[in-house]
Amino acid sequence: MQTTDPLERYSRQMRLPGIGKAGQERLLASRVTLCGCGALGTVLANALVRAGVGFVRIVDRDFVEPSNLQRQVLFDETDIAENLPKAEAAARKLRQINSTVTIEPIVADINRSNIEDLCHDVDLILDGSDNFELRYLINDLAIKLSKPWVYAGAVGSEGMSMTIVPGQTPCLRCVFEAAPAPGEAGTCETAGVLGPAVGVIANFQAAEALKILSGNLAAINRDLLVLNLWDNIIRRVRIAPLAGRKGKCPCCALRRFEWLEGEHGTQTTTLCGRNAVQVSHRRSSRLDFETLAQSLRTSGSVTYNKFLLKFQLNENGEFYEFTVFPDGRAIIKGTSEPDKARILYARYVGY
Amino acid sequence: MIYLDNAATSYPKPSSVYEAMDHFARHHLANPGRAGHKMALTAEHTLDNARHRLNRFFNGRSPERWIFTLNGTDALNIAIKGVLRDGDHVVTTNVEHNSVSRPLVALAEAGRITLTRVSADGVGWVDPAAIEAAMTSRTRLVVVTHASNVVGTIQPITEIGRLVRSRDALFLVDAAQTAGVVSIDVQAMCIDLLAFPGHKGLLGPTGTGALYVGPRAEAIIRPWREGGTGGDSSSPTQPRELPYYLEGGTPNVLGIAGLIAGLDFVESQGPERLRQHEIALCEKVRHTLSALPGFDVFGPADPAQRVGTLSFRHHSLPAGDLAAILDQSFDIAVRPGLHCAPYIHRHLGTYPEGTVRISPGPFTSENEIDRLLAALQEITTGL
Amino acid sequence: MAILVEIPPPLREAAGGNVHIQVTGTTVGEALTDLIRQHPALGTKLFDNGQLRPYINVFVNDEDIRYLEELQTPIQDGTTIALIPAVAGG
Repeated sequence: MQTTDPLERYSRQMRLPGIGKAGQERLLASRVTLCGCGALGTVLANALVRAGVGFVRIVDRDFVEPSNLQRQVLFDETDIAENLPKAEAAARKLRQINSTVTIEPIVADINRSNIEDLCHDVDLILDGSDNFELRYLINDLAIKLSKPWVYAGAVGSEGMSMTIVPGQTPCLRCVFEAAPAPGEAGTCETAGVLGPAVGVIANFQAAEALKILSGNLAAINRDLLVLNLWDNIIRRVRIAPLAGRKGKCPCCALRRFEWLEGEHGTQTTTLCGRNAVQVSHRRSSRLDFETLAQSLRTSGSVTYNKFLLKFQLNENGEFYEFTVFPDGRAIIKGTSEPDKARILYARYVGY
Repeated sequence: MIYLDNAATSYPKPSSVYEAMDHFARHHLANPGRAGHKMALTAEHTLDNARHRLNRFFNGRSPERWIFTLNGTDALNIAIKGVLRDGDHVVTTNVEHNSVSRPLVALAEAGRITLTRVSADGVGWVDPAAIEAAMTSRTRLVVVTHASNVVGTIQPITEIGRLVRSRDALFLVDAAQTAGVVSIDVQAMCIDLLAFPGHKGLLGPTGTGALYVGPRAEAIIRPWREGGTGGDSSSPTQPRELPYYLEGGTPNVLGIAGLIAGLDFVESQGPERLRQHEIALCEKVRHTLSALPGFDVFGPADPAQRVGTLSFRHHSLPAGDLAAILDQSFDIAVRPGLHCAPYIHRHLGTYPEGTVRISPGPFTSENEIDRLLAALQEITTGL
Repeated sequence: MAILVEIPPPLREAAGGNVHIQVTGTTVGEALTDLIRQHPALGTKLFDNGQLRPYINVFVNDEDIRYLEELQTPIQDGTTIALIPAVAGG
């Protein structure tokens, strides 16, 4: 870009009283890890890189697919033709948007072994994920390292967000002590998702990020924001009194990091056979097959009895068969890669 | 029994180790993974969790790089035989245990490799410059023990690691005497392969050990043992993915459950604190024996340069005799002889009789050391 | 008594497709009991062995009942009870 003042591109943003030149300089010196680069993640990355956040590490395990383009704003048809990983495709686009900041794409599944490496050297962690396993893992690490993070989720026309500043606000487990069991919460694959809903909630997250990174912690939202663009509901519910949950929050009060320690979470096992991976949970649950069957029927054929639920799926020309059991475990045929099995499980069974 | 042979196998273990193994054996001792049933999943999680814990403790690149082995010797053999090719040159030291020396000498005698053995100084310390001087353009591997099992000398691993990396060779470290009592960061120390047993400083049971395989070693290592891995059964040969590539056969998951309970204890105390405890006890022995007539004490004077292992001898009582008397008349367990490390004994001038080695553990008390010293005085009085 | 329970999208199928359901009661517990009487399929969605499921938060006029009086929280005419489960996707 041909300008004399490198800050010129941020001039409109610097005019905001809360930011100014000092705030902009703080943004330029700040570092963020973005966990997941799907619908939330692309909107977040776009906003942060345009705003001049100096270092953005983008971590995602997935590749760009046609069904992403409806809402994942950084991707286009070329990325699909080139079969690019999302992190790489996003980085390529973001560098065209702002070549003066550092983008670090990492193609990886975030897990309890690598999350600290991916997040220890940043000022803020942003949730661009599509599953609770990762969100509770982020929450554990953020509390452990005392780093702020911003949660958001979106399904259907609904979105939800909260900002977590360790020691100042409730953490995710203060508000949602446990994740919905597999099959209990809709996913974007089973319940669909309205592009603008995820866009609104991710931009809300991005604004929170800019407040934190520019040194405006006092301005953050301390409520749980819930909105439904179709039902015209916008609600802020007070969660501040839940901080520490009367000294009993396992994470921020008792500092038991159950997800980092591997007491919760999914486990994948490549079975002694061909092309099948079993996904199971460290803590088993009881699935309601009727609900799960209803949510899956829009995506493929489903049959079930009291012992198992079979779900056959054709995704981008690949055929998969899920055999889901009442305790939440599933055998996914059609792949021998644990990472792929985890992606499919998060998408369709949901977790 | 006053047990002063922790450098061979630590005893006693923290009670949590016995409890973890008893519980695991009674409730979860199934074949890990493979079948997919609840017990198999718990067993597999135990292995996965152990890899995660080792990776975090030693700052490895990722959990799957930690290969479970039978012991330190097994880990060293997998590393040495897995990365060496005909015509390679290897540099090692004269401080090594036979678990390093024998596989290397056998390969050299078979004409497969050439071997250069660098000499330590008088207290068992290896100069990195001597390693560098021994390296040639054909040097594939440098193998160094992190600390001598005879005199306890800690080697300058970081310096050696950096220079080995700058010369594009692989660096294999035998951490038998240090894992659990000296902080090890495989990435910062430029270690490509780290081998250690679980039954010494990590306070696990015998039959456990691990090998860390860094990215540079992964590129060339080949499996030395092949067999069932649980997954990918249709493949006619060993699957390429770590850890399975190097881990054919059912792992010792029961032992690993105990090993992780041992690691819990080590992490709760901190390796440096454990080393300090053992060093303080060795220092007491060192000072007392140095003042008594007829005793020679070996190794560096500076405790910062040592782990808690001390070798000594008496001028008129051979090491084996002294150890037998301590065992029979005083119920004190020590280790006499060459300690599977003949080269360092030749170097110290203690070959072939060897020395008496004492190695206290986390639960050794000062009172026990006092009783050892009283026994030594009693045995040697008038000789 | 006009007490409205706001049903989140994942629970609407079990609530006959309704977004809002009018119930009666003087406490949150009574209101939810009435809700389940009207739509029995909601029973296992909201409760597990008599305990409110941990991922469903209940807000009375935008305040979480866990720092009010839980299921004993009193309610009056005009109260809105919102059931808010964590939202997963993204």
